[in-house]
Amino acid sequence: MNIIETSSLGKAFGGREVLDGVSFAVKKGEVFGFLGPNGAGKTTTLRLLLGLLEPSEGEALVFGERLADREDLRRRVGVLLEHNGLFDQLSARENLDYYGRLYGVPELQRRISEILALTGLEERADSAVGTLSTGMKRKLGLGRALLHEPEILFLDEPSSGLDPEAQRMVRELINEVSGRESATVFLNSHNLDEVQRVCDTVAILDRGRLRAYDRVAALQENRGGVHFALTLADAGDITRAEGILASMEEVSRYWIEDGVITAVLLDGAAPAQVLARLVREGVLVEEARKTRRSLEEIYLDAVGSAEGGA
Amino acid sequence: MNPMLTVARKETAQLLHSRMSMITTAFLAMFFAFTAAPAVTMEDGSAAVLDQLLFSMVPVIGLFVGYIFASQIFLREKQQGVIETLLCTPLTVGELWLGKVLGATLLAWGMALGAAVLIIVVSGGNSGGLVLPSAPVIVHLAVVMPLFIAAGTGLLGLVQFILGLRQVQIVNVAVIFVLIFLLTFTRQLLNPETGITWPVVGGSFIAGVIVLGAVLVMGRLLNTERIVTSLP
Repeated sequence: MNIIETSSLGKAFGGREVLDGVSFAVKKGEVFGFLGPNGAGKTTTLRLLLGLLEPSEGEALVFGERLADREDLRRRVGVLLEHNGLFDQLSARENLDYYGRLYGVPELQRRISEILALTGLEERADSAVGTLSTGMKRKLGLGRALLHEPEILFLDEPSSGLDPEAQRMVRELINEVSGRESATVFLNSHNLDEVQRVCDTVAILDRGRLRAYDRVAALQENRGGVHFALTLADAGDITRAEGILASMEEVSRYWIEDGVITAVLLDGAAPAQVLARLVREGVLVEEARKTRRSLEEIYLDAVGSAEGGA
Repeated sequence: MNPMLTVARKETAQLLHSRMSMITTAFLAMFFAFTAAPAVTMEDGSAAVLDQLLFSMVPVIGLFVGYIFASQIFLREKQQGVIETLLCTPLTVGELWLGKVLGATLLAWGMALGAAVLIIVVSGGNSGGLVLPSAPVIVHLAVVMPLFIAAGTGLLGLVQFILGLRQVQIVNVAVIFVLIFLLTFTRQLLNPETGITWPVVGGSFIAGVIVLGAVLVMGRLLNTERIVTSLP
């Protein structure tokens, strides 16, 4: 069942088109990663889904409806946008209390205590938000978005400004929300590592158009031919191995990172052919294994192909 | 609790936490009170002078305080981006606007009443005996003044919600002076030489209801996309 859906979604501001024909669907319980460079139209898409903007073309539906028209459905959605949605003069507890009342959260004080514990902010509960660090504010913003136990969580760069430990906490929270509470998560992010770790499905947007959209595993498997990584017994052989790979028609491209050569083969080519050639030329291969494309590669391919076609 | 009242309650609490707003508005109220109060003496007609002072000066104080509060609760939230999160909650944009207007009005009204008390006390101290305002003036301060403050705050909030920063700066000043002009004009129209009588207060009440009603109708101009895309 699709819980979030866009069809031919378009948006123009003053004649300038920022989004064009964007269609995707998110199933209930899925963690959906929405990727793209700055200015790609990610935030505009998010605002259209949340009912903050009106589409110029197509539809943006949540629970099969436009959120702009349905206050009751907005009660089932949690949102953490670029800004944390917090009031600096009020304490963390007062902020949560305010939002809890707006959402009609039952047993509010108990729930506030749970959220403060979850975000590790119990000791700063009565401090004015303006006195909290950037990371603490982000955590509190995330807690605020989870306060009313939403069925869908929209997150816009949730890890931005957080240290690695706090980023891990965000990932754990996303996993917990999507796992235990079966919530759907729409994650707008630049953080490819984060998206790779938590998302089931990914859409990549660039210059207002969808460039890639599929399950992460499918994107890693299906595009660009077989990838395999080679570790050589003698690091001194790397230059020679490079020369061999460059001369082989079966190899579409390769790169070296931390002493490991990753080669991408053309469709139909087998890793054994490459291995045999290397061994024949006297390069000792210590380890060879098939790998999957990283999300970074998929992302750069998608955005790069868009640039090439522009 | 009604969502609008929840918003009003939060706005009041937030303004009370904002030291800068409270100091600025308290200073404003005291400044007007101390500069105006010496006009009242124990001579004949001092009660009428006090009435005139309270009738015309105190609502202006309330409007200025509302003006300061409006930029705190409308423009600042818009600049900080908090407004987007609020528009994603079950609140309607109208409830959000009215809640903010109510919160700011209650506090501005309270500050203006404080200034009125200060004027009465200081003028009493100056003249050697406490002069009390007439019943129509008390009703004016209790009933009519909040209508004008609410209309002013509502209009300022509307402007700050739907316009960009530059337009806001220009239109805000215009709004506040038009309202002060309206207050003065109503007073002149109702022939103040006869003192602040019930018909004068009644006329002001009707003017206040009309202005507030017009502002509420203008509230239909509120549009979520406009609020989000006119961020300064």
